[in-house]
Amino acid sequence: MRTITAQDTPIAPGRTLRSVRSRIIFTVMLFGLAFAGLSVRVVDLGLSAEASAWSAARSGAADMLPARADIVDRNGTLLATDLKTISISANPQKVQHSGEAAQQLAQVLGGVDPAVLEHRLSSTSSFAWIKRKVTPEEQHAVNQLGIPGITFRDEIQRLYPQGSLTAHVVGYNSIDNEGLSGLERAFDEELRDRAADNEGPLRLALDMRVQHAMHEELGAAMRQFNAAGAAGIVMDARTSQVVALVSLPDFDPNDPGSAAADRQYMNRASQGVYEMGSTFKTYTMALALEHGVASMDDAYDATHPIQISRFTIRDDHPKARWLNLPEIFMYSSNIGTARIVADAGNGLQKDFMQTLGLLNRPDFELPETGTPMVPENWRNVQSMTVSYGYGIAVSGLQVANSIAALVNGGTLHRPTLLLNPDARDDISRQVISAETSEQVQALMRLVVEKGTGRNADAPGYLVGGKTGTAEKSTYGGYNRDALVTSFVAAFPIDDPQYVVFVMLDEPKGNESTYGFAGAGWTAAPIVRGLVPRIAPLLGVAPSKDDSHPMTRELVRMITPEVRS
Amino acid sequence: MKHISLITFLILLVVSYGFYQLQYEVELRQDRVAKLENQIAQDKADIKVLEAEWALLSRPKRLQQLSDRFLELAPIDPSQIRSVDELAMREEHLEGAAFAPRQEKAPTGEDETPPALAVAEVPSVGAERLPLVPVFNRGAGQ
Repeated sequence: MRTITAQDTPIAPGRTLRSVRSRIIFTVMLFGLAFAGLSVRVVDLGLSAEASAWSAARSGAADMLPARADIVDRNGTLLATDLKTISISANPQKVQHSGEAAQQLAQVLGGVDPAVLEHRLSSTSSFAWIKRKVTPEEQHAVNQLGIPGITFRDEIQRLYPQGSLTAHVVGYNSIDNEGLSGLERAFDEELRDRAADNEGPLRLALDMRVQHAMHEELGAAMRQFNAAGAAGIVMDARTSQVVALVSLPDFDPNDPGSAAADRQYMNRASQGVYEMGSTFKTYTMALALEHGVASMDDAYDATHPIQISRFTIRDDHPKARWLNLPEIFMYSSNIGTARIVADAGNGLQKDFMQTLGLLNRPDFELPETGTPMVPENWRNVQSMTVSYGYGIAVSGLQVANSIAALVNGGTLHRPTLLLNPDARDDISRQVISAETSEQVQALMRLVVEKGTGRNADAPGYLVGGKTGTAEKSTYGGYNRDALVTSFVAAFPIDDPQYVVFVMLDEPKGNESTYGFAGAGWTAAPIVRGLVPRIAPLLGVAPSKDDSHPMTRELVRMITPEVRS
Repeated sequence: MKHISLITFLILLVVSYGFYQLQYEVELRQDRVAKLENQIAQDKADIKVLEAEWALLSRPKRLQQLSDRFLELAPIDPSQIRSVDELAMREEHLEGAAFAPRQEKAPTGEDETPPALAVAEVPSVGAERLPLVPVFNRGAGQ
């Protein structure tokens, strides 16, 4: 900056005045510029991010919410959400009479042991929890006590409004909001990221209405047959999206410690693997028809039981004659199925099972996804037992998914619980031809029309399916009285839209079933009760036809005198 | 010279007052922004509580219990579901009669019908009345 100095003085007065004036104007302009700069800065400060940082520091705990994104079903029904709650803590150094304080607190707070509390309050640390996640009433009561050193903290609580209905799918969190099971665990990080980035809820393929219907029907069947457990899956036959997945007994994820027995935590639908029994005959039929091992009118000798090494393969309802393919399937003949697979060869069978995803742990979102138990050696004996569902244990999820592929025209998809699964994960591929798929449909309808699955026939919805009754293996053999009964169905079978899998663990027969506990008596009726309830919800119109066109042909192939 | 100082001083006064006002205004607005943000966060938290409550109150199990208790609704029977093509009273069947002015009384005495039935009847002329076909059973229509 220029200043007026002694050098400038000996100049003429007129010039001096002009010169001084111009200098003053220059100075004023300089100041003006500086002030303009300052005012710009002030406006800038007022509008800049500092303002929001300031206000954020002032606002309260509501900003904590949510730590995890919500989980909703396909219709937007809330399955899991974060709510603000209060936890009570103390600074033991500031609590004066720890014994008295502990007594008072224990009186107003449920589930708190005064002795434990006193121990905590008399510690030398400066922090101790008194009770976490209390109700507003409890908070009020503690506040009324007015004990010094007690503080209230805002915390986040995960709420599962659907309760036990989603226990095995959604799972639950630890008290510190870390996913411990189910999707809460599988998507632990994703749920946090979604909440942080405000990306909205995690949307599942489940439909709570269908889930409820399945839950209720399974529960009723479990009580009726005094079963130890039950599982059920409803799956979209064309996409393998899981619309319902239920495992009983279950627990309340809002209070996960409340479950009395470990078996309540077991997910029998996707985690538990079971020898499924005769539902596996569907795979044997598909194998034979797909690879030209046998055609529908080929007959096999089911006159006598088969002796192979130390096993005897016999039929539950022996017809003691030659049976063609439809008859083998509808009467669920173990002998016939074993003979078919003997023709096919064990290598072909193993490959086929592999293709259907029955030999590996399925790629599924739930951490509780079971690994199948498959024979170590796949020799003739194993091949024969596998053909009718023994010596191999798979999960209900695997059965539902592979049956979906067999009936939907032959395309196997990756099973998923998400409504919009990542497209990159799609592994869908053709596993059997459309022609074979139609034959499988016809066979499954035959079972419901004329065979072991008649109790599954829900009028109007053209159910097709297959029963599976398996004795549970015990040490060194099989227990005739401990059964796993299952029924896998698809509807409407002439154009399958949904696959239903239901399973009962150790059902007992009663008067209504004449003492029988087989799948036709215990599992099949669940499907008959369920399908008419869920079909309208799922937008499946009743069928005008009362049979599958090809099933009519199959019915004509059945030997007349045994038609009942 | 005197004027310049005075003007400068006045400008200074005006500018500082302006800045003071601006600053004050900014602070007020920041306060308001903070309050609004607080309110939004609080409202969002309240909405979450209400949504959770709604989910609790609309649990399928609870709805079913309430329905069993207060409503006489049963699951839809397949026979109650029909497609539009199956409806008997479609426009082409009626040959425009549905849009004709309704006749209070039938032209001939013998054609008179009880009033209860007449409500549900297709407007008709003489004997060319269309038969009523029961399409839905009782309780259908959802």
